[in-house]
Amino acid sequence: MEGNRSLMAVDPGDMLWKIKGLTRSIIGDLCTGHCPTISVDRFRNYCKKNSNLICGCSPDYCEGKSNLTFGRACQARQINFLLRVLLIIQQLLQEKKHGSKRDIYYMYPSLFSAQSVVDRAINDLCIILDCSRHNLNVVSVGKGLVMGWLRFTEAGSWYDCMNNLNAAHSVPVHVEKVDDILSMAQYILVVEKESVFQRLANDRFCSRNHCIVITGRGYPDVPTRRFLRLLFETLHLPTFCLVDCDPFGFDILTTYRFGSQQMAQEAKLLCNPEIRWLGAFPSDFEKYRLPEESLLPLTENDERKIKAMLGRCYLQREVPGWRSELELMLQRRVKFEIEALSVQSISFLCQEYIPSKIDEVREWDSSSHSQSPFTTYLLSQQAASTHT
Amino acid sequence: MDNAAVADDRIPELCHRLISFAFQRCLISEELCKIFVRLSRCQHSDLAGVRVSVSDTAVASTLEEFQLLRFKGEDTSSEKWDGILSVMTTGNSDEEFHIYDLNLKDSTPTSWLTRLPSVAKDGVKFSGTEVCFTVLENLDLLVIESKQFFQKMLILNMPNITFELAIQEENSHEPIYKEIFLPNMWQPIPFPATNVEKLKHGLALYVMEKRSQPMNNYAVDLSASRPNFKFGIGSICKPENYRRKTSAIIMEAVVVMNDPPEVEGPRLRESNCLTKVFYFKDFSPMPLPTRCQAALRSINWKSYGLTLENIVDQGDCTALKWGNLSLDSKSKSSLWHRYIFLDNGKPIFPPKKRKDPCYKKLLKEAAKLALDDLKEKHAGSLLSENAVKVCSHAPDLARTLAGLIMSSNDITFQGECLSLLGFDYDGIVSKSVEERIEHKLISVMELHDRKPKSQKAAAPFLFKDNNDACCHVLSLEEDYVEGSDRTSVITEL
Repeated sequence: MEGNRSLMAVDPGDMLWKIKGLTRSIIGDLCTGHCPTISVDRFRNYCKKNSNLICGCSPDYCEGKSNLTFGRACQARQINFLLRVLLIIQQLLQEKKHGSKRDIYYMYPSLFSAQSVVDRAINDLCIILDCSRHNLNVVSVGKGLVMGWLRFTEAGSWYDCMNNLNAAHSVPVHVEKVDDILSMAQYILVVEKESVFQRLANDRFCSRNHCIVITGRGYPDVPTRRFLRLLFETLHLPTFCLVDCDPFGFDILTTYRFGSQQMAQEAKLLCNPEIRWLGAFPSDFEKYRLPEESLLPLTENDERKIKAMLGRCYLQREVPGWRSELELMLQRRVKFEIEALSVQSISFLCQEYIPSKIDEVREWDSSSHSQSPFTTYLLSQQAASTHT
Repeated sequence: MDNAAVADDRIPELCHRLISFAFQRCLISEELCKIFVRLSRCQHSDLAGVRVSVSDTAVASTLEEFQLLRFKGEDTSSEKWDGILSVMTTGNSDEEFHIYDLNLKDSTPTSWLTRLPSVAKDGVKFSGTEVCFTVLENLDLLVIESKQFFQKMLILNMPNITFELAIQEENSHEPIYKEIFLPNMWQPIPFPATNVEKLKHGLALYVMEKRSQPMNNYAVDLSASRPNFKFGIGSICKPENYRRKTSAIIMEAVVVMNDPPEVEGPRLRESNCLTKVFYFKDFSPMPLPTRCQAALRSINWKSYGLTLENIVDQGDCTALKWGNLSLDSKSKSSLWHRYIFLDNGKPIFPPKKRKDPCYKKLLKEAAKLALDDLKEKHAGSLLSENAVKVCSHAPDLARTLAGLIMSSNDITFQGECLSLLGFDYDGIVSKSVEERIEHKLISVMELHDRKPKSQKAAAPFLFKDNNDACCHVLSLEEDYVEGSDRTSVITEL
């Protein structure tokens, strides 16, 4: 089952109508002696079958329902959180105001006890009311940054990144109000970390390359992913992703590519299926002759995380090359950060690594559509190893 | 107390057995009966001897019942009692009193009984039995034990049976002490009343009397203050011989609860955590057998909002000690004084010697039926742990739902919700809405906490009783012991 959520704005009146319907239904049940139950669809965007078998997983795939009932203590507590957040949202919608998840938490901190309680309640409400978070007037503070060959409006105001190509701008929070996107870029580069983003800005990367650079500063928030998705859908530009060669870097890459499990119900709207992994690969260690000192051993947690990720069905089904690189990381039991590439030269990343990677992709695009460059490289390495 | 011979050093127990036999003969007679225990100090002896007489106006006794008291291979040496019972009995149709001397310590089949010359009744229509024996025992101990025993027997609340205890000097006809024990006159019992109905009222009287005792740090005038008792009743009937259908074991359980008094003393607070359990077998109080304790342990008490911490021996009875009763918890009030009574129906007397049937399942099922019955009849009582937790969320949930209604800028929506809640729209304040929703939430939870009706449907009662007890008939596949038996138990919180 697929949700009906949209990037487009929904009339607040419609949302209020749904909220009132839910309230009326609960009151009606109570007044007729029935134990109210709230049904919540449960979504997943991957399973852990780790095989080529058809498992039915896809972005926005509904795997079943959870019935929250007042009759169970733990669920009554959960419903209490849910309705309290709904009360706040009703007020926001009626007053045409916006609030962040953090704002909501601080309205009843003793009740909610943790931010994660509010986060989960908002996710569940999005599913129950069949909408996206921004439809509830709940917005993020916005932690993403963007620079490069881009110009757009947000709620009528111009944001012109091209005025200063190497200056960071915040990713717009109200992505549904972004319009008039104009760009002269040839590709979009997504980088995991702000430090790399700053490195590129310092090296005037966008002045030398016609591109747009975005970072979610770690795990990307919803506005960053939605903005990236909007740029891709509007500009149809190749999109590359540069992350650390460690389990968390890989997980961040898959979050951009497939969406997160936590917000699986909106994965279809937040995923970027065309994004390509530019680096850093475990195989880059030999290719770029990195010194041993720049390598870090995998911790037990790292290994556990890699093993868990290897089980995700979408890796085997859609990006087997990525999975092979991940296996290689586990075999070698080492990781390294992108900054390790700067050991030879501070500008190595901007001047050599990224351009060469992009060239590889382009060459591969023009020559073959069967294998990604890193898969080709990996297979050649394996062949050489076997031959030896 | 089982159907075994009485231990030589347990003279009070011998008295209890004899009273119990008299009681069962009274039940058979179905006429007004009196059980009279007279204790006389023997002055002709240098030793502190006590002459005990247990008499009744029931049907005549048989030798068979005294066979049950005979010593069998045990150590028969005694410093307190020679083992001799002097029995005088007569039936309505008899023309004379039959008199025997019975030596319970004599194991030979013939010589234990000495028939003495009968005494003519001179045409008087009369039935009854008197059993006398002399023991070297503390008189005060016998008085206390007898009184306690009568009080427990009164829980059985047979309206046709009264008890009397008298102390007198030998060769004197005037007692120096006398006390009469009457069944519960506080509340009329419906007629015809089942055993379990009688138990309900007997138990209520027992609770009230206990509450009025000064040791509880407060006094209650029985006539002025009648606590709001809540009863639950459960019956289990197990056919003893399916093909002939001649008899059945009946287990009946009564649970009694009453609200705590407004003023609580520290001892009272402590006793809040306890539920006394009285166990009756064959219409006679006895300690709760170990296997029955196991049955009580195996009940899922959490579904009644309770955590059973331990089962403790309190001397005169067994008590269930709860681990989750705090003074401010809701379940506390629902736990104040609870009794479980188990009984096995009408007597067959004297009881036949037989293998002990496995009562564990019967007891557990009867107790559960009684608890469920109470829960069903009294909303909010014995709420499960889950329901108590849910109810603890009710104020918050009510506040939120009231907020969703009252903060809405849609007047039509508000009107719909308020109408559903039974309000007229004008002049409604949020607090009233909140309270109404909270009340609805708790009501729904209490309803939801009860078992599905399909599980509560009563199976036909083999021995018809016009009571409202939940009665189930166990299937033949369940534990089964041939023969008939009668057992009784009680508990107090």
